[in-house]
Amino acid sequence: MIKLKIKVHGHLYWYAGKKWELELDVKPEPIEKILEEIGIPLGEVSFVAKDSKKVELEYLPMDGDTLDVYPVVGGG
Amino acid sequence: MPYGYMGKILMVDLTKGTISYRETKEEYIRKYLGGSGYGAKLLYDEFDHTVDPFSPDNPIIFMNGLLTGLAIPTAAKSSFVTKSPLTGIWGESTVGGNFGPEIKRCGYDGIIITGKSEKLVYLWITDEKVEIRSAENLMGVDVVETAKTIRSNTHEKAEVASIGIAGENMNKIAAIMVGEEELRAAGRCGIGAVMGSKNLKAIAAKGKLKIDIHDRQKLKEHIKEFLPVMQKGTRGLYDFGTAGGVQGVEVSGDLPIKNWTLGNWTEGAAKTCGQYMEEQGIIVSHHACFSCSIRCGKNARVEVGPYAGLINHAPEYETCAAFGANILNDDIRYLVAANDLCNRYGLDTIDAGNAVAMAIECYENGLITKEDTEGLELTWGNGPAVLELLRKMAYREGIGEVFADGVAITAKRIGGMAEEYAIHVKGLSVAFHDPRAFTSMAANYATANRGACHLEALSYYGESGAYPAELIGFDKPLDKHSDANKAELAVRMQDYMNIFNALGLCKFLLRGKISPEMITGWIEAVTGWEMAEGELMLIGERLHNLKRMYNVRLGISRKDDRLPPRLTSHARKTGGAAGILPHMGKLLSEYYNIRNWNEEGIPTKEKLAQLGL
Repeated sequence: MIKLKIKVHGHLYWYAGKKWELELDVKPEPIEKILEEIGIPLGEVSFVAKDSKKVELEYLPMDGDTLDVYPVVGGG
Repeated sequence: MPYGYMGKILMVDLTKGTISYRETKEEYIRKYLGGSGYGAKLLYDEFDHTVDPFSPDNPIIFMNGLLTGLAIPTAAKSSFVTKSPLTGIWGESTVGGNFGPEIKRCGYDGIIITGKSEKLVYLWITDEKVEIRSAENLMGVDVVETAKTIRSNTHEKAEVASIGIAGENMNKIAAIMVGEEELRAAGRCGIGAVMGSKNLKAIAAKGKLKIDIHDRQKLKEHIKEFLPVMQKGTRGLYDFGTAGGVQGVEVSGDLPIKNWTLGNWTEGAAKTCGQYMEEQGIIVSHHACFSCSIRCGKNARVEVGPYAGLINHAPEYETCAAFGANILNDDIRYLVAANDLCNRYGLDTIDAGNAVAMAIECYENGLITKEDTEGLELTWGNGPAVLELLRKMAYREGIGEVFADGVAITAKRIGGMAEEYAIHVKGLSVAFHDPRAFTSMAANYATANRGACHLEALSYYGESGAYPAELIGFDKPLDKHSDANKAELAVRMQDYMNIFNALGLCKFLLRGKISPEMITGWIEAVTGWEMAEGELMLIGERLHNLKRMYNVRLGISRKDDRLPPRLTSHARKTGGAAGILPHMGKLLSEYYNIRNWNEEGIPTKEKLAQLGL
């Protein structure tokens, strides 16, 4: 298990149990799997960043990582 | 026997009170597809572009897309085409719901309406007959009640497209509304005012014909393959509608705030979005357009204003921006009520919202006074005052008359600094996606054929990663805060979006990562045609150039391809796009070069010949 902090932005708040920050103990899996498991639909994710740098959705997080998850720009 | 389309267009002359028919040309379907593509060909070739938009000789051309009404995801859309009274140039407005498919089931690919009736009338269309009926009892009646009354006088399941009081009063920001409570809007370009100028209150239809398809099994296979991807990509729209995007837009600096002057409004966005409406129990039900499993339509309970207690179509994203962030109103009850009033009056919420924001800024800066407004305090976030201003605009009462025809015309009426507060391109208010956040949208807004329309490119999808633009052959790097490659992205997306309007497809298919090759597969299965590689995008380019040429004939050139000063010279201090301004001269030169237009923005003869125009 690894410790991971996930900060969500925009409307992803509503998919993250109305929390802006999540502190998780999770299996070391690609970030896309972790996001799906906590209920954030990948179709609503624009990109994930670590230390203000974009990482791929296949990124394998490391113990102690803090990741920012940004929503797609939608509207109509 | 044509596949996918019906082969017949209905023609109505309201001056003479006559009904006639013409053949849908296969040659045109192949070259322009249908919808606003076919409509552009007709408007360009057959109608005098110099007429006043309110002249009986200016037509309303309603055209279904080639795929409208088929069992294809989102194939619900159709287009109204005319010379716009709001802008004086090319006007098109597309709409979903069930109206277009119903017209097809009546046997028609489209309707060409000319002339002007002496008295208020509506059209009643079935697959057996077409009647022009009196609508004098519907004068001044809102669109919800109009649809109810017409259904009770025709068929309980008739599909109705109608105008409200704004259209009857020929407000140049009047919409045509489709449906009853589950409304959809052909909102832009003042199309509802043209309908009003013809004394045409509504069009109602009920048909039972079927549309022939070349290879139904093949089409089913294509759709089966696409649906799971689409459903994954549209979860947010399914859950919360377009209004669910308000906060994501705000984070990126894309949300217009306080008449396009501020960079962030985080707490306000959280209280004026689809998720908040759902949480507060304001959303009471969900609905979908024809053949659409995205189901982004929501219905809301109205809690304040003259229609408190009733249910109406819930605010879309654009409306949340219009009557939320852009006027600093974080009281969702007044936002919902403003949306309800616009729907009932038949006002475009984008143009009406920009006009309200402009009115507030004019009031705050003393360009209009409390005496001018007859006591109405037009201050930021004043919900009750906004509702009253909207009523006055629809009825052209007092100060409402000044703001009833869009911000560009209003700026001329008021003069002075008012132009600074009028956020438009070529007379059409800028839709609520800020070109300082995604600069490809600056190139798009400046060159979009109907004015500042976001849907002519939706290139912020490409820039933000919501749509992988490599699927349309664009594989260059994009830096959000630079102009590099943005003009090219705008060109490619404009060409692609022209195809959607011509086929009758909703642009939310982009969230399902739809490619031109997939759509080509659908067309081939429906029609039996064989399309060459790249042909679909070439058609999109043809349509964009054809519409541009309609405008060129009216004098449009580089001098008109510009954004309002606020969006090019006022950088915002905070937010996701703080400090960013698009470099319009550079963007335009690149854009014209990619399009093979000359430096004045006129398509070259070589380009037109290459496109078969």
